[in-house]
Amino acid sequence: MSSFTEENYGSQSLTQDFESPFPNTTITNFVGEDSEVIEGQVSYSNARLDSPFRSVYELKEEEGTIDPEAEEAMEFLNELYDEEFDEAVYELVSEANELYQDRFESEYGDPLVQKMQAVRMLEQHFTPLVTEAELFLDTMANEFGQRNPSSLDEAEIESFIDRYEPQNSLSPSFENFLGSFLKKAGGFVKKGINLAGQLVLKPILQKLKEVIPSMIKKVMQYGVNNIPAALRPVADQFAKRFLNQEFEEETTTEEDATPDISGIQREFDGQIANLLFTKEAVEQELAIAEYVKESQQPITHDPLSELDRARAQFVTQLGELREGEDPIPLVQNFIPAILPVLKLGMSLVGGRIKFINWFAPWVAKLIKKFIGPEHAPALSQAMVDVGLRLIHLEATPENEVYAARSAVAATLEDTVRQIAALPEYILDNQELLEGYALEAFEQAATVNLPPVLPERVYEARPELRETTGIKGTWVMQPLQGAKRYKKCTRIYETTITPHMARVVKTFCDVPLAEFLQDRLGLSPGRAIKARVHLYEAIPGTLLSQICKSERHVPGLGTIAAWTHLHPLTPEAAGMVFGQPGLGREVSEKYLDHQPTTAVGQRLYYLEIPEARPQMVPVAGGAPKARRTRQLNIRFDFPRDQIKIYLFLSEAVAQSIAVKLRQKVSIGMVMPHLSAIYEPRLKKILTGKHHSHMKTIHGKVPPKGSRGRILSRLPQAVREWVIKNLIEWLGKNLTTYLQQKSPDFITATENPADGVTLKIVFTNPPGLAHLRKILRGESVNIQEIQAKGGMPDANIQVTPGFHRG
Amino acid sequence: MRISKSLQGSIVVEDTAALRLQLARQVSHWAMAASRLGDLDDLAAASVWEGLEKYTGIVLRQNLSAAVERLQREAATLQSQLNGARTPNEINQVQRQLLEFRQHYLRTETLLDFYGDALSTRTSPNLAALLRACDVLARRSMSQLLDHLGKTTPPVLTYLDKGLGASILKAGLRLWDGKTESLTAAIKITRHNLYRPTALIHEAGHQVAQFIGWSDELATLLDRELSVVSPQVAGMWASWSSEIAADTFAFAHTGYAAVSGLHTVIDGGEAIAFRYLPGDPHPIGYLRLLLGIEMCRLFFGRGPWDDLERTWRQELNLARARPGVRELLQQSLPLLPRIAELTLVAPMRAFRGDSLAMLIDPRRVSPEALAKLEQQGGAALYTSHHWVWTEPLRLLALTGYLAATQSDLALVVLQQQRDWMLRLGETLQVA
Repeated sequence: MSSFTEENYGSQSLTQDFESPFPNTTITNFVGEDSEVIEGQVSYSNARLDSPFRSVYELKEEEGTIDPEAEEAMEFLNELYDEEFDEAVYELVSEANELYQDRFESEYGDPLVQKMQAVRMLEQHFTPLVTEAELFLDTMANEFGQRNPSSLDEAEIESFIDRYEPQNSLSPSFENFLGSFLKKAGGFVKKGINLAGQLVLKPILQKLKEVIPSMIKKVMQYGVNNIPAALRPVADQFAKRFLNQEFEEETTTEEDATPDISGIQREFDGQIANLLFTKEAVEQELAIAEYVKESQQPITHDPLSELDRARAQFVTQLGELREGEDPIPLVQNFIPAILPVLKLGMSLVGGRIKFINWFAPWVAKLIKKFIGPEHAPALSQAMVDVGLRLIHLEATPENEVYAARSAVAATLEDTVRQIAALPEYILDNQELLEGYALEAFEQAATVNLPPVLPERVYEARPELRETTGIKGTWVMQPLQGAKRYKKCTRIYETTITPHMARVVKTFCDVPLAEFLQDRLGLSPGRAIKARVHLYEAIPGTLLSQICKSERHVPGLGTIAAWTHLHPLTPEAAGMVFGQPGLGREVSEKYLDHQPTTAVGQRLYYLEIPEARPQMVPVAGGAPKARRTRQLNIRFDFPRDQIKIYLFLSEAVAQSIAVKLRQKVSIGMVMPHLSAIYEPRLKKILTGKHHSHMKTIHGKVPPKGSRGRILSRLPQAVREWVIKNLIEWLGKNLTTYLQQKSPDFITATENPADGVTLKIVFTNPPGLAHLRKILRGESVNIQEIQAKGGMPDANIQVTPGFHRG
Repeated sequence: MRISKSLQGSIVVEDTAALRLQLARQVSHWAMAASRLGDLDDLAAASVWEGLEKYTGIVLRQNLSAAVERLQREAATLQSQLNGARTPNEINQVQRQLLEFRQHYLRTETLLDFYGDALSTRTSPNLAALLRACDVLARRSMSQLLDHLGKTTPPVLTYLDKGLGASILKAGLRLWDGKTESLTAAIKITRHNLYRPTALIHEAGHQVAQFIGWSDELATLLDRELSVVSPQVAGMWASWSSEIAADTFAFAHTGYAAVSGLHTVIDGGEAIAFRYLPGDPHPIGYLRLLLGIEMCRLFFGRGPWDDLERTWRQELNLARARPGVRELLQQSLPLLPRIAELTLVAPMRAFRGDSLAMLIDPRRVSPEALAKLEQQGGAALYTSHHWVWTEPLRLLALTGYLAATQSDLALVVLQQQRDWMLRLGETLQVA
């Protein structure tokens, strides 16, 4: 917790001048002598994991004894978790959001009322999906419910699911979701027949039916009220109850801009596990009732709409300021709406009023040069000069004035956001704070305001401008109404050479070249002319929402286009259009596959006239976009296995098949393959990319099972695992491709998109030690490092995409 | 009958008012009619529009909307002129403009009907996918050349129709309304050729040749180079330059498949093979096929085209050709190897000093190159979305070659052709 308590804003002041090109201000200290210093909690990771020299490693002292049933439940939850389900949920959330915005959202009227009306309409919209899911469970109950579970086997259940056809035709997003739901229900029934004491399926399938509408309702709520994840805690009650522990949240200064949709799945999985593992009927019913009740809670908390409203008011009032009038009251009214959408800003709660009282006059002096009748026209003109009309051909003079005032609002918001993210020791020290606050303002102004300072200032302080040459700025979008994202006023024309495309990476470390070839059908050997559109996430931004709103950009205009956005890192910005200053560094987790962005994260879209998005037909369904490479890893402790699913895109698979047909040396094939899996293996096993890892272990709660648990292993252990897995993979794939190349070739002849190599290592050396570490038992690291030998490996190649 | 002055005045006024009333009714009628044209979903069913590749659909909609909006603007102008017309002269002026508007309306309707009919040939998902594949083949053939020359390739809309030969409504031409420029190349493919669509590439060649001025330059070249033999023969070959350019383009992309495909179309007996119509841009059929065979020989050496030439010459007796034509044919035969060289390997300004063969190398579709392609891709060549997207023209060359040389497998090859074309069509995101 921060020490921003009421007492912090004491009256003793310290005056100090900071050199800034922005209007000089006198900065007043507000931290009193009697500052309360709250003991910072020493995080577990800091306290226990940072020493690579520890030879004996213990993850955590566990209270109590091992509970086999609890562990089985956790293993089941970890196994049940399915990334495809998240993808399907994201589609539904985006669809709900689109419907809400198109039909209900209005700057007039009460947002909460609009959202409640939208949820009612969405209930009707999603009814066919709920009905289909319920019909499926009924059919399944009829098929298997009356039979003795011991007479059933998993293959029979899988076959039933494969054969199942929806009773009614569904939209592609519903179809996709239903497919993931069927898979999950299959996992539920398979576990049901294998559980000790074998359950009678029919009643529990009926109970599962009861929770489906609630789960879909949560999807709707996420869709209409996409408040950031930090403000929407996921109730992992089941895991908490069974493991009697909670997985700590990641500590990061960045904030998710969008809801963590994986929470919907985790909660639903918890309900499934509840039906299987909770013995007492009353307890089971209570858990269901709680889940259903929670989903029926009306939306009462809507900080994003509040922020929209306050921002609109601030912008309007800026336009009403008379010459020389003080903007402090306007700022004082605006700031309270910014704080609630900040995860870290919540820590300012204690000293909120004092903070505002200090910040408002301080920042008012800084913004005075841009507002009021005498300065505002210059700012509007500057907005036009940096290309506002390039992205808004239809912009009226009123729009330009409004955009200029919105830029001032955005500067304030970003400044507050940066201050709120400052570490405690800075917040506690007024001298430091004032310096950092000024820096925050400068950074925010650099981004949100057009270059308004004299050229000599930029020569002396080049960091106050993001670009060299062409001038641009970031504008909140849409110009009118609730703001959803920012767009750069400049659209960069560029030529992407094959070399650039190979070096620049998009999400999941996929080379841009592969995206251009497999997703857009562009030839890898040719230079490509493109127009680059730049976007930035603000609180509440959904990637699908950006794409939907950008109707005038060829290739965008639909929610499904979100997979065409790429992360705008400084490297990408530098390589693709020569402006590294426009890129943004973000944590690795935001460069992963999941559609969650950080507030302030930047993205780009390539408008390429020659691009033709590549699709693959799906039997009985809507075509799907072709995929790029992907590596997924499963640490399956109950089965003593490490499973690796290496998906090769169609282009890559075919190029390898050509070499195999030509019977070239395996030395010509493996470097190509290892260049795909090695870097990904390293990235995933260091715990940086969560979406591609699953740990099935009785002591790992669902939140941690996706990669995050690995970041808790000692570095030496992680390195040992990475080194060995790479070696095992290399050796076994070499042998496989030498001996079984016809299998690989045959798989590539299937019309499915790409091929998946499934590599299963059974009883790999060191896995038993990892199990102990995750269980919290003491392990001698040197003992692990001394482990040698090659595990049994089984490799299979299958057409299409699989991730286990 | 004598009419008093004041009465005359009132009759004039009444006549003007009556005329104005009639005009107003007609202007409203035509303005409403023009307004109705604006809904392009009335032109073709939604499912038909969805049969188009997304980008082609966007461009076509923009193109047609622009034509209709132009008409609607004219209707609005007419309406405001009528509103402002007071005197008989002004009323008469509006009446004349109404007649012009009617003509404009009918021409715009013809324009829309053409595209409506073309779109409506995409009657089923499979046919739509096959025609999308045709769009890709034709467009790819153009872009392989135009990209080198730094020019933009227009989208292609292929449609199905009866008959023997294909045709093209080129992009860049003024359409029926005389004002709207076509933004897409609309190519007619005949039903019998749907699975052997090398004719598409020939039509795409017309688009390219017109776009870069190749036909005119080739005409000049042929005239100059052949006139040493006979100015008459040179002039005749020069007059065929646009069709020769298109044939050469199809050969460079698809090799022997284009030649055997041409044979299928023009093999209609001596009356057709020896027909010479002055002014017809098509070469005499007899010579046209033999020129294609010379192209094969120039780049591939000996091959199955030698057999085709033998049977062609045996089947068609020059002695039965019309006098006058026979002499032209006889004078032309020894020139064919030279003409093949001129079309394929002579540097041209249209190609920025390169030859066509330097930009589209026919050796990529030689029988040896196609066999190598088959060996590299195996069965995946026909099943993989990657292969059908990256190598559709060579696949067309390969399947055309196999169908021409392995008659016992012709049906199997045609089925294979259908399958990979379907796959190619399905690869694209639809509108």
